[in-house]
Amino acid sequence: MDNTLLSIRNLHTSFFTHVGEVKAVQNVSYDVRRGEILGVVGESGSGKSVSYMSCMRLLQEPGRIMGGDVQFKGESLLSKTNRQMRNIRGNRMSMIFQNPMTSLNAVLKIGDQITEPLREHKNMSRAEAKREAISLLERVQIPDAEKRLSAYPHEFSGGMRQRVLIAMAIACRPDLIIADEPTTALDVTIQSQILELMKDLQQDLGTSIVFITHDLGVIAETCSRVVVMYGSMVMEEAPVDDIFHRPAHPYTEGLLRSIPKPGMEDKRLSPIPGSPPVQLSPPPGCPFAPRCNYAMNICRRRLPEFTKIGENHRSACWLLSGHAPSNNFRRENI
Amino acid sequence: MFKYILKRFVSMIITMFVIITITFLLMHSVPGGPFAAEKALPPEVEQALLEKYHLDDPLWKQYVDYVGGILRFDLGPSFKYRGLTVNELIVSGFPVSGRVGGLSILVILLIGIPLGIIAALKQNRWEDAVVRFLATLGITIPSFVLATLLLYVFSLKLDLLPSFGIESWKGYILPVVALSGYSISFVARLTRSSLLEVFRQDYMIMARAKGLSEFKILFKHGLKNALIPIVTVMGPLIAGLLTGSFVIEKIFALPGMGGHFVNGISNRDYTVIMGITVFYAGFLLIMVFIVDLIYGFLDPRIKLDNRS
Ligand SMILES: Nc1ncnc2c1ncn2[C@@H]1O[C@H](COP(=O)(O)OP(=O)(O)OP(=O)(O)O)[C@@H](O)[C@H]1O
Ligand code: SF4
Ligand SMILES: [Mg+2]
Repeated sequence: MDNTLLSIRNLHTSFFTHVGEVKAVQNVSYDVRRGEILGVVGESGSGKSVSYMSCMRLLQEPGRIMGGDVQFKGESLLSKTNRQMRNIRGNRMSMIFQNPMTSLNAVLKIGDQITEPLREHKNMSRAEAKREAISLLERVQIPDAEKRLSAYPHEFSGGMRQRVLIAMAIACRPDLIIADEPTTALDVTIQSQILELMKDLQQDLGTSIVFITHDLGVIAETCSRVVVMYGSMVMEEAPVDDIFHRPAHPYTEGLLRSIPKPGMEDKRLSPIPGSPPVQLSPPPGCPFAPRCNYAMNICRRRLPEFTKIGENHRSACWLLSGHAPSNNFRRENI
Repeated sequence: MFKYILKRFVSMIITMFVIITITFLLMHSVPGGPFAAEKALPPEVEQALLEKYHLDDPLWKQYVDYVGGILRFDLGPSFKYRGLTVNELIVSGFPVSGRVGGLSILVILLIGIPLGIIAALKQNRWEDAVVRFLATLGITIPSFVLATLLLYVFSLKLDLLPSFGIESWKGYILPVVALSGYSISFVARLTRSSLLEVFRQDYMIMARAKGLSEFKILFKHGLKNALIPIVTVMGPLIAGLLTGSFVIEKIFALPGMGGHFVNGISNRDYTVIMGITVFYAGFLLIMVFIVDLIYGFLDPRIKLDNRS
C-alpha cells in the first residue's frame, strides 16, 4: 500500500503586491508519508508557512497558487470544491499555529471552540461533543477539564492555550497535523513539554505531523525526516540523521553551524552572514549563491537540479552535480 | 458582577450630584432674573413673584430646596408657562423625543452595521465603493443641512411627507433620517474597518482552518469581535443623538424636549433649563451604564468585577 499521505508537486505560489509579484513558493516538491513526523526547516520568509497555507487552500489576498498540484490521499486538493475542502480542513488535515495567544478567539469559551470541529465534521450532538471535548482536554493534560470548558482563553497561560489548540487539532483524528512553529512563542521549559506531548499523541494516534520550524533543535528532538527550504525553494531533503551528520547542502551546513553549542553562554545563533533573498525579482541561479562560501560561476547563472545522494536523501546544489566543474572539495564531505 | 453594578451606581449618583450643582450655580450666576425681560412689571409684583418662587431666599437654601426636590423627582415649576411644572413639560415632551431618538438608534444599528458588513465582505468591489461613498457623504453633511435638504425634496417638491408635526407615522420619517444620517455613516465605516481588522486576525484563519462555514466564521467568530469597538462608541453616539435632536425637533416643529429646552433658554426659564439638563444627564448616564454592561458581556476579557 502506498504510504504517501500528502504529495506536493511543483508547487508555485505568489503574492501579487503593489510592488510586484512575490514568489513565495517556487517549484516545491516532496511527500509527507503516513505516520511520520516531517520537519520543514528554513529561515524566516523561506516559504514554509505559505506552502502549507497553499495546501490547505487558506491563502489570503493577494496570494495565488500559480502552478503545480497537491495530492492528499491520492486526490488533488487544488481541484476540490470549497465545500469538499471544508470537509478536509480541521477534519482530515488540521493546523496548529505559532501564536497560541492570538489563535484562540478571545470572546468565545474554550469549550465552544473545541467542540466546533466535532459538531461540524462528526455531527456530534452538543452533549456528545462536550464529553469528547473533556476527554480531549484530559488527553492534552489540562487539569480540571470539565470546569475549564467554560473558561475563556485569557484565563489560560500560553502553554495551556497551545495544549487547547493541540486538542482542537486532534479532535477529529486527522491524518495530518501541520504544526507551524508550535513552540516558538513559548518558554523553553514549556516548549519541551509541548513537543513531548505532540510526540506522544503522534505515537498514539498514528497521525502524520509536519513540524514547521527554524529551530534545528526541535527537528532533532522530534522528526524522522527533514525538508530544508531556502528562498522559497527546497534545498535538501533527507532523514534526520543525514541532515545532522551528512549535510549535503551548504545552506544546511550553515544552519547546523548556527545552532548554539551546549554549554555556550550566549544562546543566540551565529547566523549565516548575509540576509535572506527578496523573492520580488530573484536573480537566476541558486538562491543561496550570494551567501554561499562555495559559490561558483554556474551557481549564479543556472538553478541547480536535485542530486540523489542516498535512498531518501537529495539536495539541490551544483557541488553535487556531475555537471559542475570542480566539486572534489564537497565530495569528500559526503 | 453585583459589586460592579453597585460601584457604577454609586459613581453615577456622584456624577449626577456634580452635574446638578454645576447647573444650579451656572444658572444662578447668569445676570438678570427670569422676570427681567418684563420691564413693565411693578416692583411689588416682581417682589411677589420672587417670593412665590422662593427666589429671594439665600442661595444655599434655594440649592438645598432644589436638590431636595430632585430627590422627590420634583423638578419644580416653570417660570414662564404659568401653572405648568417642569415634570409636566418632560412628560409631554420626552415620549416624542424618545420615539424619534429610539427609532434613530434602531435605524442606525439595523442599517449601519449591515452596510459595514457588506462593504467589508466585498472589500474593494463596487458594493464597497458605494457604501464608502455614501458613508463619506453622510459624515460630511451636518444634520440640519440634511434636514433642510430632505424637507425641500420630500415635502416641498414631491409632497410625499409632512414637513412638520407627527400626526401620522409619516411625520417621523424625515426627522429620523435627518437625525441618523451621520451616525449610520459613522457606524457603517466603523463596522467595515473593524471587520477588516478582525478578518486579518489569527483566530479567523484558525476558524477557517477548522473547516467552519463562511457563515459561522463571519457571525460567530468575526462579528462578536468586530462589534466591540462599535459598542464603545454607542455611548457618545447616543449623546450626539440627544443634542442633535434639539435642532431637528426645532426644524420639524416636533413637540419634544428639544423645543422646550430651546424655549427655556430664550425665556430664561431657569427651572426648565436646569430640569431638562438634569433629566438628560441622568438619562445619558443610564445609557452609558447599559452600554458598558453590553461591552462587558461581549468581551470576557473585561472583568466587570475588578474594574475601577
Ligand atoms: N500576505 C502576503 N503578502 C505578500 N507577501 C507575503 C504575504 N505572506 C507571505 N508573503 C511572502 O511570502 C514569503 C514566504 O513567507 P512564509 O510566511 O511562508 O515564510 P516562513 O518560511 O513561514 O517564515 P517564518 O519562519 O517567518 O514564518 C515571504 O517572503 C513573505 O514576504
Ligand atoms: S549551488 Fe552553488 S551557490 Fe548554491 S548552494 Fe550549491 S554551491 Fe552554493
Ligand atoms: Mg511561517
